[in-house]
Amino acid sequence: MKMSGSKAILESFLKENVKVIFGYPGGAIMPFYDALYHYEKKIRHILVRHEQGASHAAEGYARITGEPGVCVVTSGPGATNLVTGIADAMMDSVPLVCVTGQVAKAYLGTDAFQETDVMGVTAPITKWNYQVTDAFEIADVLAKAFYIARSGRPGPVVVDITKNAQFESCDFRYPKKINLPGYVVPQKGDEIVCKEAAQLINSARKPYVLIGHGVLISKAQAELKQFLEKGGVPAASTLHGLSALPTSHPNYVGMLGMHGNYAPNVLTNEADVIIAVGMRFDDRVTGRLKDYATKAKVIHIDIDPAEMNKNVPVAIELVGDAKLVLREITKHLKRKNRRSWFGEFKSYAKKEYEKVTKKEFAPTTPKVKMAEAIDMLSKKTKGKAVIVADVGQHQMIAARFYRFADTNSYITSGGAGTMGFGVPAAMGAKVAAPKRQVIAVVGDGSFQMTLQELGTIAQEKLPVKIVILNNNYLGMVRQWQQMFFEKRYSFTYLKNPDFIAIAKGFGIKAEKVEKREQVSKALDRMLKSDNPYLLDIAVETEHNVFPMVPTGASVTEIRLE
Amino acid sequence: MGVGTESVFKNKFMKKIHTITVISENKPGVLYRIADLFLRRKINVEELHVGKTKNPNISLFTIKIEDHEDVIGKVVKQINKIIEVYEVKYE
Repeated sequence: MKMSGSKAILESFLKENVKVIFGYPGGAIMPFYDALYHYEKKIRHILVRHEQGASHAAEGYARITGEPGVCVVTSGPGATNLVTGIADAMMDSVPLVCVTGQVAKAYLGTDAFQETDVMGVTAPITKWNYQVTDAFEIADVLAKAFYIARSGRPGPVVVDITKNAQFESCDFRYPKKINLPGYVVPQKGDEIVCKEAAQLINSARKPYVLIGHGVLISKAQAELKQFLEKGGVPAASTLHGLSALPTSHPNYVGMLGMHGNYAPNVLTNEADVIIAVGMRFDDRVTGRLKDYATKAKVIHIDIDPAEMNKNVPVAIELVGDAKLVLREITKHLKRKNRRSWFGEFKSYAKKEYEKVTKKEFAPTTPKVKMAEAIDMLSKKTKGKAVIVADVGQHQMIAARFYRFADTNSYITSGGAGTMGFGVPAAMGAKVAAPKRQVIAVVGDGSFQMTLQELGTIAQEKLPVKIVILNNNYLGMVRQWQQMFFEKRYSFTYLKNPDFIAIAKGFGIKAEKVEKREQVSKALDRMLKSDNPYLLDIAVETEHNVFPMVPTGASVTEIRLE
Repeated sequence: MGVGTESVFKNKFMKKIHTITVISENKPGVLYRIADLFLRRKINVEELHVGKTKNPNISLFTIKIEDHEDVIGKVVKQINKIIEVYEVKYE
């Protein structure tokens, strides 16, 4: 069928079952926006306020649906404003398809108005990128883009489309088969190796599962549960693995990493077999590598072969889809309970409760503590909300104290640690899960990086709930300054604006909460509302997040105070 | 079984010239992505040759770099992740 390149982009989106685009128009993408005018009923377009918001919103959308989030922006600054979100998606294996407009083919390389070398800029932070300069390429390239973004280890893809290609006419035929001979997606792991892995686990005294984001990506929650329950294996989660297993599950022992729980970190060095599922041994999880997993043989299950032996030497490599690999291993597992090994986790957990957790809930301070607010939120929502955390102290507190009952319930920026992620990602998550309660938990610093997206939330009438845990500081940096830089608070104090007035300016209901006793009722009002709602909760200003594995320390050197 | 001891040993004694050969689709951007993987790790390229093979749709890269074998092994795995790359080997 003959049509313009712009229309071919939209028809390709329909073929890929794209329901929502997060975008922002501009010169080099105008032909596309003109075509979009006639597709309003078929595809929802959400006009963000800054392209970074589009990329994070698309991430939030992708994290809920498992399908690529789609962004469309113009050339030059439109594309470069997407870069932070693309880098974030690359680090956290989030599927995105970003279409960027580009100057016409004849102008490429001439420093034309709003020309940026988008291919060069995005190559290091994309799974794949491609520049389309002729309309006939569009269908084929977009088919590849969606396939690459969502398959294997997901990631962001950029398709840069010149303006002439959007105008030109082409014969639209969407490919049924994708020809990518260099791209092989591992499926199930080697059966013999799976059996070896099971034997190693069967003979282990202290096996230990590390749950990563890959469990959620491959939708392996049920297989993980069967594995753990049959094998009698305790499991801890990385930041992105949270909610793959309900917090209340008897085999769940807590969170790993720098601000994870005490037992999961310390006992990493007691385990004799570690089964890492869909995780990549990030430095925030391992601490000092030389003293990590000191007694363990490591079984690494991951779909990305480049992760094998990257940071941690692996005894058994299982490259494949976590769901299929876990199912295969479970077949050969012996039923065990390993009570004394679980007992070790319990005794460390008790110590953490005494030294850290108890203090978080002792109301000795005039202002509420972050943990109290998150705990209330957790109880009031019965652990069923989608928590979208920004980056900082509030992120770690939300991860530690929200008790996840449902899966796919903790969305945050992990690998990149992108401040400003929270509000736009929550927006995207709400679009993807309109029936779920979606709550952005943000800090006063991170909120100010992308707060213009309140405009998008208001225009689209997205009932996103926003909780600012406001300590008037860049809290995590301030904590490090206190602990490691002799309390020199170098540029971490924030003179904040009136967030309530700002929200009201956008037409969003907002409340300031300054006293402990007001928190509960305010949360009730927020949760009951059918509209977007913002709570600015003043929290303890110089509070530190513990436990903590300081940078460069071993997981056993975790500090409780 | 401490992690790291092994690689420290290699780092100390095994820095030498390695030859990496890459067979890929003949498309713009592949060289850029390969070069970027070296740049990320601050690896200097000693020698580089790229050309078409008998099949004009396929390119062959021959790259010489000096580094530790464990580093080369990791970079080679990352080169293999480039969508257009069919095959990569090193010696």
